[in-house]
Amino acid sequence: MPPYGLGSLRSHGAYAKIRPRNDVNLILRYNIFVKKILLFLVFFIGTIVVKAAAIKDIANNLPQMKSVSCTFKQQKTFGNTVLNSGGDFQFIENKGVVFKTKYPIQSTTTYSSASNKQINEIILAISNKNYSYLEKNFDVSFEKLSGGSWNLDLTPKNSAIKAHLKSIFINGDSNIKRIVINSVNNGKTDISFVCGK
Amino acid sequence: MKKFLRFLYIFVLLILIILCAIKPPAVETNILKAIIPSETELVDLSGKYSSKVNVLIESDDIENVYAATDLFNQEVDKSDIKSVSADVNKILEVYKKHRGGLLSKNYETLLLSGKFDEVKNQSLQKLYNPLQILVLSPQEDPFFLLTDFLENLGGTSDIITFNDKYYKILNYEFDDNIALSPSQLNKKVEKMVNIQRKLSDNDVKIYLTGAPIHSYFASSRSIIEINIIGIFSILFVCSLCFYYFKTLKILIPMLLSLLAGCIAGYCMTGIFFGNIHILTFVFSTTLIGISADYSLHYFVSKTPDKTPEETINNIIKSLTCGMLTTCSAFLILLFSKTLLLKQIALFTISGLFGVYLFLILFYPILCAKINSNSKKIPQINFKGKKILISGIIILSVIGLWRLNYNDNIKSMYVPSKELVNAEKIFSEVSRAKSKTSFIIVEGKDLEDCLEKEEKISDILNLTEYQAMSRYIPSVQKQKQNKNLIERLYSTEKTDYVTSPQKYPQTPDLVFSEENFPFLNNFIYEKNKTIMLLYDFDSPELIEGIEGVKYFDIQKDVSNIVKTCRQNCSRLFIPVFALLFVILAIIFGVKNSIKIMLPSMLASLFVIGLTGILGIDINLFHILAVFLLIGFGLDYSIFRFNGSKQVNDAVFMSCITSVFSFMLLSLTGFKLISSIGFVLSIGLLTSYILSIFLISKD
Repeated sequence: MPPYGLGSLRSHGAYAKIRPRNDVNLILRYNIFVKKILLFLVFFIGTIVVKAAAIKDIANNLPQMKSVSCTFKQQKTFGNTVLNSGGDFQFIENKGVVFKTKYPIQSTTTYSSASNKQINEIILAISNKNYSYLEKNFDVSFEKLSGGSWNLDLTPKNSAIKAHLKSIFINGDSNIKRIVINSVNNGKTDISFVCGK
Repeated sequence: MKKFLRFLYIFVLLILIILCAIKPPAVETNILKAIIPSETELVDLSGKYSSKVNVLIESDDIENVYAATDLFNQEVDKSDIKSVSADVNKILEVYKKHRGGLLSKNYETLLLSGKFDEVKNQSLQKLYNPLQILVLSPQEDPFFLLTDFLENLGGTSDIITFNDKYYKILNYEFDDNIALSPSQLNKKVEKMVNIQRKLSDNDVKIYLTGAPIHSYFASSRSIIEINIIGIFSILFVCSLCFYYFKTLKILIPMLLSLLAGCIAGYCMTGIFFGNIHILTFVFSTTLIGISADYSLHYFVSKTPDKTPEETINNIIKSLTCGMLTTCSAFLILLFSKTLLLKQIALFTISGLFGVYLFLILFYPILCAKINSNSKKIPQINFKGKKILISGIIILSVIGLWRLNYNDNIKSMYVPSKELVNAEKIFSEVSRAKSKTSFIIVEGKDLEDCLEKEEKISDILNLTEYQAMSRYIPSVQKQKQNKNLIERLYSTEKTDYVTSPQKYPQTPDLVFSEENFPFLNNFIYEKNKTIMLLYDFDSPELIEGIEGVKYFDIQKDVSNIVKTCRQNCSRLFIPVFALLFVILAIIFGVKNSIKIMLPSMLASLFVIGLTGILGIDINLFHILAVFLLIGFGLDYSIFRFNGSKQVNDAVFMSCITSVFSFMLLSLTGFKLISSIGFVLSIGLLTSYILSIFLISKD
C-alpha cells in the first residue's frame, strides 16, 4: 500500500465528486451567501461587539409576550405628505406579526415574506427577549414606566444601518402598544395598537 | 555479462529517478479526473464548491445560538479562509446610480403586458406596508422599482426557526492553496471538529457538513482501517515465512525487489503522464503481491544443493511467462481511453519488469548467504473435483443471470450515521433544493453571455435559479426596461408624491469586479458564465441554443462511469485473446487453454457471486478482474511449469494475497472493498481450480 493512505482519496473535493447530493447543499449555501449579500443591501444588518450587561437587564424587565390579536392604526409621514391607514394586527408567538391593512387599500403583510423579515425580526427579538440580536445591531435605551409600561429606544450602531434607519421607538406593557420607525428614505412610520378589546 | 546488466539496471533506475526529481509528478486526488480527464468543465463544476464547510448551530434557546456562534467565530482559524468582502453601501450606491434600467421579473412581465395600473397597485401596497423598508424615498422612486428589484433577489433570516429550535448557519470556504492540499485541509478541518466538540453540550448542538468534513472523517477512518490491515497483513506474511522458511532474512530481498519495482513504476508513470492519480497507486498494489510471488517462487525452488544461479535457471521460464502474460493483460489497458487504466497499465508493466529484472540479476548475489529450511506444506487430497468445478460453473451461470449494475458514483461512499444526520438537518433547515444543475453559457463577450442567460430564463420560465444576469441585467435588457419604466412614468401618476416625477435617466449598469466581487463566482472563464438551476429537469428545452451546455453532475458522472465500465468489460475479450496467443506460442494450444481456464472461470465465478449475493457490480469490480487475471495466470503458469515444490510457493502467494485482500474487502470505502472482494474470492477460486485443472502429469 502506498504511503499516502487511502484517506487521501477522500480529500480535495473527492467527496463532492462521488456524492453529488452534497453538491446540492454546497451550492445552496453558495446561493444563500449571494442572497445574503443582497439581503444586506436591503436590510442593512450590522454586527458590532457591544457591552452586554446592561441589555441583559433590559431583557429581564421586558415581559414575555403571548400570541395576541389587535387592531392597528398607522401614520406614515414623509415630507409634507401624511398617509393614514389601519386594520387588524396579529402577533403569533415565536413566529412574528401579520398586518391586515383594511384602509385605504386592502393588503396583508405576513411575517414570512422576505421583504418584511427585518422589522419582523426586531419585533420578535423584543418579544422573545432576544437581547443578543438587539445588542448586535442597536444601542438600546430602556425606560420602565409606572403600571408595568415600558419604552424602548433602538438606535442603529453602524454607519451602514444609520444611513437608512434613524431609530425605532417601542412602547408596551404586556403587549407592544406603539412602534415608531424613523427611516431615512421612508420618513416616519407611527403604528399604535389596541389589543384585546 | 550479468555484471554489465546489473550496472545497466542501476544506471537506468538512477536516470529515471533523476528525471523524476527534475520534474516531480504531482499526485492527482480528484477521483473524477481519473475517469473523465477530457470533461474538464464537468470536473471543474463539481469541484467548484468542494472546499466549503457549513456549520449549523442548534439550540432550544436563541441566546445559546448567538453565544455559540460568537465563540465558534472567535475560535476558528480564519487565516486560510476565503473572504469576499463586499461593501454593501457601495454596492447599493452602484445600484442607485444605474437604477434606470433595473426591473424585477415580475414588474417587467406586468409592464410588458401593459398592466401599468397593477404596478401602481403593488407600489401602493409597499407604501402602506408597516414593515416595509424602502431603498429610495418615494420622491426618488415613486413606484419603488429599485426596492422591488432588490427584494426579488431573495433574502434569508439571521436566525432560522425550525421544529421549535433555533439555528444559525455559518459558512467557511478554504483558500485554494489549502483546498488543493489534502493533508493541510484535513488539519484545518480537524481544528474545526475540535471546536465543534468543545462547544457542543446539552444546550447547544453543532453540526458540520460539506465536502471537507466528509473527506476528514472518511480519511481518518480509512487511515485507521489501512493501518490495522497493514499490521495484520505484515504479521501474517512474516509468520508464514517464518513457519515455512524458518528465517525472516528472505524478507530483505523481497522488500528490495518491491522497492525497485515501485521506483520503476512511479518514475515511468510520472515521466510519461506528468502526474500520477492516487487511484493508480491503489490498483498498482498488485505489484506487491506479484513481487512477493516471484520471490517466494525463488526461495521455494532454492534447495541447498542448488546454487543461486541454478535456482534462477530453473524458474526463469515460469517467471518470464508469468511476467509476459501479466504485462500483456495490462498492455491492452494502455489503449483504453481512460487515464486511470493507462496509468495503472504503465505503472504495473514498468514495475513488474523492474521486479523481474531485479530478481534475475540481483537475487543470486543478495540471496547467496540466505539459507532457508523450507518445510513441506501438506497437500490436500480432495476427491470431489468434478462436483466442485461443476458447482463453480453452475453458480457462475446463475449469478451472471442475476447481475445488477450500479454506476452511480454516489453509492461508492457511505458516510457515518452522524454525518448523514447532519446533512439531513442542514438540508431541512436551509431548505436545500433536492437537485441543482448547471448551465455554462458561452458568448462573444460578457454582454452576449448575459443576453443568453436572459433568453434561457425566459424560455424555461425560471424562478428558482441563480445567474449573474439576475444581479446585472444585459445592456439590451436594461434598454428594454428603460423604455418600459419611461412608459410607466408617463402613464401612471402617484398622488403621494408632490414633487414632479421624473424618469431616472441613468447610465447602463455593467459588471466590474471592484463593485461586485461576489459575482465572480458566476464567471467560469473569459466569455463563459455559470447558471445554477434548482429542481430543473427539462434540459431538452434549451437544446439548440448556441454556446449553451447543460450539466447534471450526478447524472453525467454516472453516465461516464457507465461508459467506462462498459469499455473496460469489452477489453476482456482482446485481453484473453492476446494471452491465449502468447500462451499458445509458449505452451501449445491445449496447454494454454488449461492454463487460462482457472483465471477465466474464477473471473466468471466472482462476478457471478456478486449477482447471487445481490451486490451491484461497479466499475471497480470490473477493474479488479484485470488484476485477478494477472495474479491467477501466474499461479497456473508456475504450477504448470514448476517443480512440486512450486506448489508450496503458489499456495503461500495465494494465501497471503487472499488474506490481505479479504481484510481490504471489509473496509468502509466501497471502492477498496469492491477490489478486495473480487481479488480475495477470485484468487482463492483461481488457486483451487489451478490445483484441479493443472497437474504436472
